[in-house]
Amino acid sequence: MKTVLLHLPFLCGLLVAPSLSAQDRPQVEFGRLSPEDRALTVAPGDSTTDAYVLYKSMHLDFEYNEQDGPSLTERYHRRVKLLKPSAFDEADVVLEYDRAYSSISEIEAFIHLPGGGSLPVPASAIVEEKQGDTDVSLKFTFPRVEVGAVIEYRYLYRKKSILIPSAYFFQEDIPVRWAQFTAMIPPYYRYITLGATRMDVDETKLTNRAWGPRFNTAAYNSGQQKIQHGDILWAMRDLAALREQPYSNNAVDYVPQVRLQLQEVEYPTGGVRSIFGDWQETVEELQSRDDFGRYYRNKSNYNQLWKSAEPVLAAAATDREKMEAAYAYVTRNFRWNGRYGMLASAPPDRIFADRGEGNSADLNMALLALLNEAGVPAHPLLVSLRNSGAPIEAYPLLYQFNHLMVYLELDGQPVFLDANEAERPAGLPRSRALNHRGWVADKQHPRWVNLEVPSSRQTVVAEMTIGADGATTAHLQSRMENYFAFDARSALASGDRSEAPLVPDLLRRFPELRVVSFREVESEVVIPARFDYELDVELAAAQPVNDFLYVQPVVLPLLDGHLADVETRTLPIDFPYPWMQRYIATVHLPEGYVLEEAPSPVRLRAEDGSMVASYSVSETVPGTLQVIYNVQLERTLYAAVEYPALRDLYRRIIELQETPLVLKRAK
Amino acid sequence: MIRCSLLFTLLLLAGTRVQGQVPEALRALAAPDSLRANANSVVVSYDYEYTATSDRTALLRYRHVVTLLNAKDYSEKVYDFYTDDTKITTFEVATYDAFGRETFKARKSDITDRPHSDETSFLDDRWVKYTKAPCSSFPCTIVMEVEKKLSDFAATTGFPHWAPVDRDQSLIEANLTVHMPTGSDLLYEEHLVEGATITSAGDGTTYHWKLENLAAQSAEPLAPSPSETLPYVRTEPAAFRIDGYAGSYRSWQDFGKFMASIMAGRDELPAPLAVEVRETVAGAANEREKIDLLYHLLQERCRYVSIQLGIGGWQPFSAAYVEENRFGDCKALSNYMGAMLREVGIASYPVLIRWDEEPYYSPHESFASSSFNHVVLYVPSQDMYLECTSKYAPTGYLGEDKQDRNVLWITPEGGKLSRTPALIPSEHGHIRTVSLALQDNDQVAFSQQAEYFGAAQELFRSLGAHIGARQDQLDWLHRNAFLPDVSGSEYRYAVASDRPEVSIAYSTVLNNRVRKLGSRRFFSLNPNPIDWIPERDDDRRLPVRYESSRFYVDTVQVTYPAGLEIESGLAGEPIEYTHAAGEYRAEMQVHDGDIYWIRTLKLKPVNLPANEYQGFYQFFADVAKAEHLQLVFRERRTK
Repeated sequence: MKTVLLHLPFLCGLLVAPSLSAQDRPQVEFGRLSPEDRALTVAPGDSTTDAYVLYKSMHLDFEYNEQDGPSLTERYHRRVKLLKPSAFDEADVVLEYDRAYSSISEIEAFIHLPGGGSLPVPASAIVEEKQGDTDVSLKFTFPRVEVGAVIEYRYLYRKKSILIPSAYFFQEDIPVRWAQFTAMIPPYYRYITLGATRMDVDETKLTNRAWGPRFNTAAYNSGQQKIQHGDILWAMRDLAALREQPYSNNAVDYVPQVRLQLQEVEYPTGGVRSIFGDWQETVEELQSRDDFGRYYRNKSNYNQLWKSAEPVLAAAATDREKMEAAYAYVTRNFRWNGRYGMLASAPPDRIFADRGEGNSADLNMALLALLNEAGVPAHPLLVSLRNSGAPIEAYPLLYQFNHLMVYLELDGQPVFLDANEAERPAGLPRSRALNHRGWVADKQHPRWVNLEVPSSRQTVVAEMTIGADGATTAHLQSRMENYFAFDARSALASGDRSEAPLVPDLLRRFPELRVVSFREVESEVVIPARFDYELDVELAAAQPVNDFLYVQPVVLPLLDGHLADVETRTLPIDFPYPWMQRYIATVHLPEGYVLEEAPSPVRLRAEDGSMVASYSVSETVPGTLQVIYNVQLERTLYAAVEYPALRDLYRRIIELQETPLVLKRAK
Repeated sequence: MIRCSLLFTLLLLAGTRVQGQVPEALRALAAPDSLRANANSVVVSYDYEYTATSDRTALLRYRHVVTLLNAKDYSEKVYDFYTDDTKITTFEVATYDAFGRETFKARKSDITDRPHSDETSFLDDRWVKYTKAPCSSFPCTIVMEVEKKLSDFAATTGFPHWAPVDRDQSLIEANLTVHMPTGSDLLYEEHLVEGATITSAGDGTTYHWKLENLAAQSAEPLAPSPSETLPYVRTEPAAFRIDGYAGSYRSWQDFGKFMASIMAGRDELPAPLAVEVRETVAGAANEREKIDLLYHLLQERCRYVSIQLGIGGWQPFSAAYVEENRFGDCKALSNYMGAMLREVGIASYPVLIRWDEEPYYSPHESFASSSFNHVVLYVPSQDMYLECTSKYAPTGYLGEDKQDRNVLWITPEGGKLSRTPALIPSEHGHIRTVSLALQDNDQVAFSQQAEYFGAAQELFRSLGAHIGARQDQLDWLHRNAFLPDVSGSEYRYAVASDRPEVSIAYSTVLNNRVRKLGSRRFFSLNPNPIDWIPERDDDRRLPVRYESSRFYVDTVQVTYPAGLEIESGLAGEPIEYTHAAGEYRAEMQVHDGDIYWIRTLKLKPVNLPANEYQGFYQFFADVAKAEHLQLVFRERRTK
């Protein structure tokens, strides 16, 4: 992370950054294509790609008028070589904007034909489509698209707010020859940039340029002055195509990019106006907002809700019971509308009176109101959902948050509440929210906390009776906890036999499986985080061959092979939550068979102990075997360099769970 | 008894609405058990009224009341579609809980209008109006009431195709009413519905159909289209007018004439293209070769872009427009191709077709209607169909989801119903050879050569058409279980341009395929098992419709180190299974110490009565079992 401060001392530091020489930089004129690029038939370094970005750029600039003040302009330019027909979708362009606060104009597009000549896309072929209340799409497609053609277009995107310019990504899923970000930033605006991308060209200088507003700093108004702008050129070249990898999270963070955020405004006539200062200032500002702090702290915003819920909460004696009661009340009386948010859309009372449907912040804001009113101190917890970027703690950047939860402490231990599905117990946020860290908007003590949830556990006890023909009846008793319990309850609710808990995993391995029965085992004391379940199935867990019977005792695999498929990774491995699975099978052998060979007991352990697996087979009584197989994952985040060790461990565990036992007919 | 008591309680709770009759939100609960058995939902009432006000305008009203008994078929969004020539004047949605209490009534702010995106159309004038109908508990009743004013294209295509009940759904009552103005005739087709009641008055004729008390038909896998087993009524106007073009549905011939009229005059080739076309075929030895040359010219020159605006849903862009832009939709590209063929003296017809795995309605001679969604071209002299939207299909290759169905040829004499060819199993499948060499270090050298042909090659041809980069192709093949990993040393992907064949070769070394247990090695012989098994169904009610037509040949060669010997897994006798849906044969041979497993599997389309489902299931269960072969090696014992 670095700060771009357009003040001289910092600028000097930036100017010494390594940079390509001027003659290495492409001279690109819109609408004109070099003969070499026209003749190009393959992307250097990637002979199989179907398209190649020859050039793309974003230029950030500012405008000013006396009525509206400053605004942003972003000029985009893109030039792509089409190398195979599979890339022709590139020629169907859709540009989207929200006309409530932005616009797109000045669209120009050309196609450069491989045999010579260039054709414009006529303005009449650019179609505007309304997508909703204020969302607009501009669509156009290029004529005469063929292999070897180059499509090129540019447009102007205007934004009313100068707070957060659009993020600019240098790399794409096709190779890029040259990508650049340029900006002319008036000295009144101080931006920070996020990300640690090392540029091939990294130049920042000061350039004199006229720009409003006008300030009378001298005795006479001498008209619009030229002022020194921060003049930025950041560029990257020869970027390979991006690739997806399984078990990744926040992959976007690893794409080279520019993300700016306004930090301060300082006009010559006034002092510094801080857009954001530190987390303390930020929490104070948030807490003073209607749609944040006031909605859950000012009783006039939740009085009706409280009146309705009070009898339920009054019956709860302890803080924990109050927490459970408030959580249950909100999950039963509110509905999530499918949208996430860090700000409420309306006061809790209005949401409650209006069918109880709201975004994720609305539901959790109602929960905050009930908890605090009931005397259980609770605070908003802001998170960035998984795959929307890793949390940025160094600066109080609010835009990184897209979800609001509830934080409280019970018996000195943190509890995370995320009201939505009634079946998901208190203390288990939706798994999408588990992005490692969250910010507690506690007015007295704002802070970052680890989003750690209890390990999810599953224990399956299988009683298997195997026939000499391999046909097997199996009675599976299982206890699931936390996310496993929630997932199982959801699966059971579907009512579909093939989707019942554990069945899909069994079917993947035994497609001929017959489900005899399945049911939830209800206990006298309902523990929301626990799910007890029984399943009876018939399957062929053994294969008879001559005098041998090869038995697959682990009918329920605990790991799948996707993580171990590749040799190397570039992205970290990121699981949402820790887990532990136990599988204990009692295997009754067919009459006349004895165990000839079984794997030796084994215990596998990652170097740091974060992943542990064990496996053992023993003959408890003659004709009966017991197989115990455990896998435990305690860490959720592994760096890409740790992958080879994790991969090998995975492979060994998978080998264990797939290795059969050898029975032999007794003589 | 319990149900009656519950109902009584509910009726009391429903208050004044009980007086006189059962409130509609409670009718499903008051219905006999037979109407709730096997049902996820109950159509309480579905009143659909279509009033043709002229040969180009109409008014549509419907009121749909459905009680969801559980969440299985619950879809939160309630919607209807419209186009630029439609005006929705009423759109009301409400929900009721199990006590008959209104829990939701859509306000203006709850209703959203959005362009309809079907992911294939780049530009489309269809819109969808929708709202969420929240059901937080079940039973839950959703009431939807819509009124639309239609004109031109919307009015003609809007004539009711009324199928008021779906599978897993019962029906208490439904009514379809169509009013035709004096002088306008209504054409209709009834299926499992009592005949229409027809009444005439001064201003026209009214047709009315009614359905009552239908028990739910369970949805079952591999069942025929619901249109074959559930009631429907389809209607069309005898005469209509769209954007000044007059047409009729009285016969397929008439409808074809109308289609020809809106296509007329759009096949004039620009002069330079006409010259190029003639030059292209100048050296061709015969008509087949000319077609091939021009089809490739089309593929190189043009691409598919779907633009569906108004009558443009049926009327193609002109050949000149396509030539200028080098793009078009199915109609435009077929028209362009037809124009090129005409330029060299080859006659062709546009063909209306339903491109679907299984069409909901199968067009047939006795009722002309437009349930098509695609256009291809037919060359009668060669008995050849041309799919003009594909940049990569071989000449004359139509595609599996367009074969074996009734289509409408637009001939110079008008429409003519015809049928596309059925698939022959031997022409669709693969020949695949895999070599597996076990190494001393328990790695496996894997090498595979596969030739996919006919319908079985479509997926792989499409892969190259949509995914260009080698690594992306490998990722896709691995993700879909066609290759064992992505890090192989050799990958060759070749598409035959002149015939429906794709070959894929791949070599790699696998680290995790041998399970070691003491002196034993367990090894799955077949890396590509064909082990699909239909769902178990012990109480099958509906006939079985199995559509696959394939012929697969797989050969696996296994070599292993001298230090190992086979303990078990070698099959002495061939394994054979036969059923109306397929023939399976696998045998194992040993030559020079290497193991060869050769399997052929023929899959055949078949219609079976419900009581033969178990045998059908068992055939595939047997095949799946036979596909999962395990070889067990052990370290060779020295004597």
